[in-house]
Amino acid sequence: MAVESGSVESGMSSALSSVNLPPLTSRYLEPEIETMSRSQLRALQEDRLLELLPYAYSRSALLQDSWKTAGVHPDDIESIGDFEEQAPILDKDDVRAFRDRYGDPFGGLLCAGPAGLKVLGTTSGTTGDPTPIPQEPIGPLVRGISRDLWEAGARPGDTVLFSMFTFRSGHAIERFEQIGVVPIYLDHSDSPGLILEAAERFRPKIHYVLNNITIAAIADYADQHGIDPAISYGSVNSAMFGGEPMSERSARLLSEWGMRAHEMTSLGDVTASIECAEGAGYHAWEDLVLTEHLDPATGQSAPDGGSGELVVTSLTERAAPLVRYRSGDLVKLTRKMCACGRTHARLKVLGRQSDAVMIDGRSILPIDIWPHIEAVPAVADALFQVIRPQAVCERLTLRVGTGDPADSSVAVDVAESVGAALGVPVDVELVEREALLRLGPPHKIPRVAAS
Amino acid sequence: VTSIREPLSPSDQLADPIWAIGRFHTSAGLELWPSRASERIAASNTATDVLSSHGVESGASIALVSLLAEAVQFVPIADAIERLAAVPMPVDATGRDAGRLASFMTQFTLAAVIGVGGDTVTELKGIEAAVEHLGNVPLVFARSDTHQELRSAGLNPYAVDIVGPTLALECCERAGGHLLGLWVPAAEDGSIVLRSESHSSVHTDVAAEIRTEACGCGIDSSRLVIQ
Repeated sequence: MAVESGSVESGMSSALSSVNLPPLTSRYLEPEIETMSRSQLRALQEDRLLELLPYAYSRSALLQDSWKTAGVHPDDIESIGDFEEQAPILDKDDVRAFRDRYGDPFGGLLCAGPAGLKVLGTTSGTTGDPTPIPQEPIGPLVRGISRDLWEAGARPGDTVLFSMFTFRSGHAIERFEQIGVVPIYLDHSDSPGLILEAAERFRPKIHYVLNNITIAAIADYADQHGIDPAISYGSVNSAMFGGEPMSERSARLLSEWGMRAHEMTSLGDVTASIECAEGAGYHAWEDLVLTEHLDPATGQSAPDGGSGELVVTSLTERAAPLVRYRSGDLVKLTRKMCACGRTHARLKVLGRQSDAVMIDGRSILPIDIWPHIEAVPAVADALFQVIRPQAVCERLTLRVGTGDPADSSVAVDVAESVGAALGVPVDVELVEREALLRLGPPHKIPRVAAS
Repeated sequence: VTSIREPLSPSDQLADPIWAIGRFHTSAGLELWPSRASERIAASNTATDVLSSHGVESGASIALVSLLAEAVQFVPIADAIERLAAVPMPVDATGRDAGRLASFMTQFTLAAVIGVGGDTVTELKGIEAAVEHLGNVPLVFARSDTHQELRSAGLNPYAVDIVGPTLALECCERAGGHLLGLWVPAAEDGSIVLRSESHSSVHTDVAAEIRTEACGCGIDSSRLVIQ
């Protein structure tokens, strides 16, 4: 189907306007928002939520469907408390089911017509079909990442190495234009030599985004060519790291290359969530996204600092706002003020709820396995998958990428390393590295497979 | 390494700012390319005219198949799509992302696919009926490395090709790809060299026939037929 016509109401656009740049010495791009008191932030969220709900309910077929089923109407919601108590929760499967039932590729989420859309991006598709993420010109993704780039040191006139992919937001020039920085566009498939050449020639402040696979490739290239990446990357103070949890080896290499690592993740497909220089959790921009973290067992709000599943509501997005959308990410979340002075929530990603494998009563996530594969030199780049035919298994089965799958001693070393650390029996299948890399998107591979 | 900061000197940035640094292939390897705002605007203008010649309408869904590193060449296409009030749907121009294009073609009524190339088509052949779906898209702009293959499959795509820091994009006349922007091409030593008021010569690794006679679409930029 073609994109249906509709409109973004002009009165709704105040939250979408461009930012006024602060003094270059300011740590914060939008200080009045980034450091507002929790009570002010809560009031702002509530205003935006109560403005959003009737807008989204009247336009989103999926939202209307699920709220009617739950017997809830936006008129019933007068506060965030009401919302958290009564609003039904949606997940990606609900979106896909709606899409398949009604033949609507947007899964019943689209609220705006072409005039309200900048680009129709899609999720990576790591866990299934790519799902559409319609984006408006200056939406929460642009606003959130602009703040994060500023925190990482980018200022007008600077350059930033930008290596990612196009499917999420196209070439994403707006996030750089917001703060007047110039992106150096590179691909994950570009050779490490070109990356280092670009860094030497154009002296970027930030490399955004790096991942375990690219870092390992740069390290190998540097070793083979007698290059010191710390010199090539001499101007780069910060690395945004995303796609997967940062491995210990990657963290060590970035430190050796003189970069402060800012880990990042997707905040429930609404915007990004990135660590500040304090390294004390990813900041979730709560003026843009209402974040909850719920105990998966009870569905109730988990305590501050505790573990729960991240559930998000997009407060300012008008193209296809997600309302109480279950991300599938297990996080630890706190709303205590960060040492950087920001008051918004911070989170640590523990893994995907669906990635856990239960062995002998223990829940094991890929992040638990990672360092013990890295510890085996032949597979230090930790290209591996957990083979999980069902959620509960008797043994931990790993598929590990290596340059020489015939060398069975590597399998023995991996099994011993992981088994000793986790205390579970381990089986290891070795495959060619390329076989796993082909499973991309390029910045990550699916870490759990059924077979 | 030459004069590292020079391209981004403040006075230079005020006059005609660099908006992005991309890259393109030359016979000597990859060339990094700082692109100025004036180049982006000029390329967007031509791209808008070319897409208009095909009757691209407001609200149209258009799959844009490109690499991130092809921003300097493809952002002007995205600009043109936006000016026409159509909606770009980005796909990575890698084989591994071909499934995304296949998914778009089955779920959406696409008005156009722009930028499909050999890597994508090779993978699409492994996806049942995907190439046939491509045949149902009214406008397909394919890179020269897959033109022959698509013709063999019964399709008749228009041409889109990277030529150094810009693109050649075919209009409805099918008489060669219009060079986007203010570039003037010349053939030297078997490949295209581009010149503009700002650049004395930009060597590409593209071999093409240059057509300068008036095009039936009314767009007055030079055209290239890639060889």
